[in-house]
Amino acid sequence: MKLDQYFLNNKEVAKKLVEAAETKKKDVVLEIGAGRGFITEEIAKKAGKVIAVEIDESFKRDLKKLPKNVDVYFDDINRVLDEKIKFNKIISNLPSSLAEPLAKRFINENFEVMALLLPLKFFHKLNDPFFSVYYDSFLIGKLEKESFSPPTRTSWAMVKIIRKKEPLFEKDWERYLRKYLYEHPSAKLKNSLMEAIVRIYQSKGKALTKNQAREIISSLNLSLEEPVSAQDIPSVSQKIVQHLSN
Amino acid sequence: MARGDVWENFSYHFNDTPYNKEKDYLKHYDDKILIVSNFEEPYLCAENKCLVLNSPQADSDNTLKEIKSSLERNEKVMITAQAISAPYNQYDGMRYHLLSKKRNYPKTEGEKIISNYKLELIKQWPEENLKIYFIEKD
Repeated sequence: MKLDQYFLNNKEVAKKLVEAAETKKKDVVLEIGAGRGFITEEIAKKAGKVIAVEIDESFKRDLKKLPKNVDVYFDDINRVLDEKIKFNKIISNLPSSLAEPLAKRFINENFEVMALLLPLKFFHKLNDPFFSVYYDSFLIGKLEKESFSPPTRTSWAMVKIIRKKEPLFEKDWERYLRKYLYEHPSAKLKNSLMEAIVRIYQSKGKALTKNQAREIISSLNLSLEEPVSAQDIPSVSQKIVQHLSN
Repeated sequence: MARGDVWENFSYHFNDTPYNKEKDYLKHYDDKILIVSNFEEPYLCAENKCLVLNSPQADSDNTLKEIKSSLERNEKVMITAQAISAPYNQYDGMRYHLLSKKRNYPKTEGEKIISNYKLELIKQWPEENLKIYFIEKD
């Protein structure tokens, strides 16, 4: 086994994965880690176009047999993404070591849905305060270890991930505060909060001065001098939203 | 803008019952049976097939039968943390209902039901203490 990859050997699972992404002819699907093309074949039946990325050139012979609507890139997925390719869905049996870095990378990519096979443990991580700012994750089901060659050593799952809309559009102020704080890790908490609160007001078409925002923050008794740690962000943003709703 | 106005404008936009978060999340699961508390029922059961705990119609034996037969049909069976803890710690609007805060009995109906099964956590909202689980086959 190369590159910590477990190859899917169950056609029913492959079909269900393609269904989970609600794949249609209008879709351009990015597949990461095409391997021998086992899932690629199923995607190609439903999608208009498939962009299959595989880093291991030893699969070249297998991937040559794929239908015409499949473009194969033998390259690192990060380099392919750097080329600004266009796609709207992602389907993959992810190598476990790539799950977290790619989930972080896709925060900045424009896509609608991901359908992934990944370690169950990582599905739980997708529900943490950081990833849940950007994604809604759904467990489609747990998978038999024997659905893979070699069998996986830990529990694996089929997961659907939908990109969340911008929190300001959804008036989800708590998520907006969390997002703002995660995206400005080196700023002082009081400055980040002040900016975030002013922007919330702006999004509602209302004016709020920085002094008025400071006034709100100063009444919360937060420790404001240090850059806020990632673990403290959920409680800080929740505290603000709770306080403001009183 | 006076300080009073700032507070007033903010507070209006921060009110949403936590049950609506569950409702939005559950929309994405098809073919499921959902076990909820009677406090969640008005929010979650219009669009989902539900078994309601802590309601006058609740029947533990029937609930167990339904869970068993749904699992045999390979349907998704989901239970909320509110159903497990009912009648305690139930949201009424934004906060726990006052009378649901004091726990008098050692084991709830939901706790008895889940003692027969393994649960898989699929979603949680830690600040509101809301969770949704899959009930798994033995």
